[in-house]
Amino acid sequence: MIKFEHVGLRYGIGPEVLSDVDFTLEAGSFHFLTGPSGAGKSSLLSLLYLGRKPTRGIVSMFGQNIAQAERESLMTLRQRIGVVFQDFRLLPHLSAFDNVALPLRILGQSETDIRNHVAELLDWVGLGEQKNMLPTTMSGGQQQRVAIARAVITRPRLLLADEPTGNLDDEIGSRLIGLFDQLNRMGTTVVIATHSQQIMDQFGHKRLVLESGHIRMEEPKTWLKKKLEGIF
Amino acid sequence: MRLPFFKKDIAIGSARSPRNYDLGLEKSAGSLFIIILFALMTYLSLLSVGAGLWLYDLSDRYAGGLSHTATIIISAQEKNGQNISVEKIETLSDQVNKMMSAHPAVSRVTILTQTEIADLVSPWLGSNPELGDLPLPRLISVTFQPESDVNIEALSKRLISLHPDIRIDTHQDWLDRVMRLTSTLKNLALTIILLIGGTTFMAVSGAISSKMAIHAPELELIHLMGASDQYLSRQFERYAARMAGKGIVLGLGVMMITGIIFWFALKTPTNGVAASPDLAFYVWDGVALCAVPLSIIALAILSARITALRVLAQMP
Repeated sequence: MIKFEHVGLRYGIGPEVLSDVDFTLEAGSFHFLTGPSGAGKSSLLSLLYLGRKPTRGIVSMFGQNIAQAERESLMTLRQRIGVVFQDFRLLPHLSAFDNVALPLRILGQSETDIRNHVAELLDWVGLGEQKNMLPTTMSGGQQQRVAIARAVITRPRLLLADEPTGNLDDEIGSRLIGLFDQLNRMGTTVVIATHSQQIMDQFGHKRLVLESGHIRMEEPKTWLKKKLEGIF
Repeated sequence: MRLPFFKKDIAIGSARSPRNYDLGLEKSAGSLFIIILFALMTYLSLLSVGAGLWLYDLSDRYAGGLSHTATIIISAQEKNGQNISVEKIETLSDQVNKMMSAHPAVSRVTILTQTEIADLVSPWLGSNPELGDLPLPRLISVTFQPESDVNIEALSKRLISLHPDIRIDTHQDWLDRVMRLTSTLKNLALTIILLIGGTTFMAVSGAISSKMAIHAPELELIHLMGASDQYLSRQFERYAARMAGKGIVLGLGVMMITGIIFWFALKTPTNGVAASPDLAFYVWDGVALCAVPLSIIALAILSARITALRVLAQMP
């Protein structure tokens, strides 16, 4: 479903922040994207959510080579992707409800459907009472939950999240990753950039490890492996 | 009931209600400046269109009133400065009247009375009763058949044969000069309207560009969610239309005040001479004046659309 072949990315005339990145994500897979700060996680995510095009190499998504895709096709591809940004990127003058409803409105859904779905999802993330609040009057954790709700409201085929649990307590963080897991079981491909070892261990999915612009795939550590590592 | 404009917005998903859009354009800085700019454009456009229409009407009336007519002037003085006697002038008037009435191309001959002539010169000389002593020329108005082809030179020679101080004036020279002047003024009004249109287009384009720069992060976000360029540009088009609407209301208000002042100024007599230019208002004048605000709104929407789509095309 998603294929990166010898992908490189640089900003302007600077050095490559991603070099020869090769990986394939099957439809319906769940991956954690991890690595030290500055390794290029956000840059890789920006390629995945079609925020930029690679400097070199081939990125294929949903069977289309991004470099050759028409503008209209890119628009349709983006509608299949949900993104939770590290800085949330909520529209400050819109209420929590309208922020979450935005992707549905872009898709042209009816207001009746929007009212029902958005209210249900906001209740689920624990913001049913705060739906009319503006983001500027919400706490960081509440804003993050609005951002997550906005990313999943359209049931995207690809869900990307950049440190989605950074501002949440462990219980809500686990609950939200649980939501991502649930979406994944329904067929959504999920990539979550995170530093949280606890979350990665708890959910035990494959990891894309980025180091100095290069990527490698790691299998999840099993309970037995972890025990053996502890013994030896 | 909502206007079709809003229905379309809702249909493409860029608005949920007349006042609720994804981008907080009206809440950001610069909106007041745009409204004032539109008000100024409306005011100047209406002035130019109004002046153009008035000049068109004026030249049309002059041309219509003076074509196929001529004035025969029997001078009150001979070339050597000697006054011609009243009796002699009366005799010449009768002769001219007979000659003209017998002419096959002439449909009407009217000899202006002394009172009518005095009325004609009263705006310049006033209505002093002592003016009756002044030697005033005798004026005879002649109207020709509309399709007739009159040889004015031959007619003039026949009149001179009656008396060398009779001349015929077809007003052509004067009419040509007036027509040239009104034509120049009409072209000037049109140039001003075009300049205002161009300036409005550029100003809206600049304002939309700066709005897009201010809201760049939000635009990028909505773009990344898969919004079409149409969806995004529609918000700027609607914003421009709303700003134009507000500006037009303001401009119309100022224009009405100007119109009232202008009207009173024309109706107030100065030194006993009325300054009324006999203004007329036709249905087409109303249509042309109504077209001004509509054109400004259309121009604002077009400019916003072109600018927004051009900027959005640069996004990946």
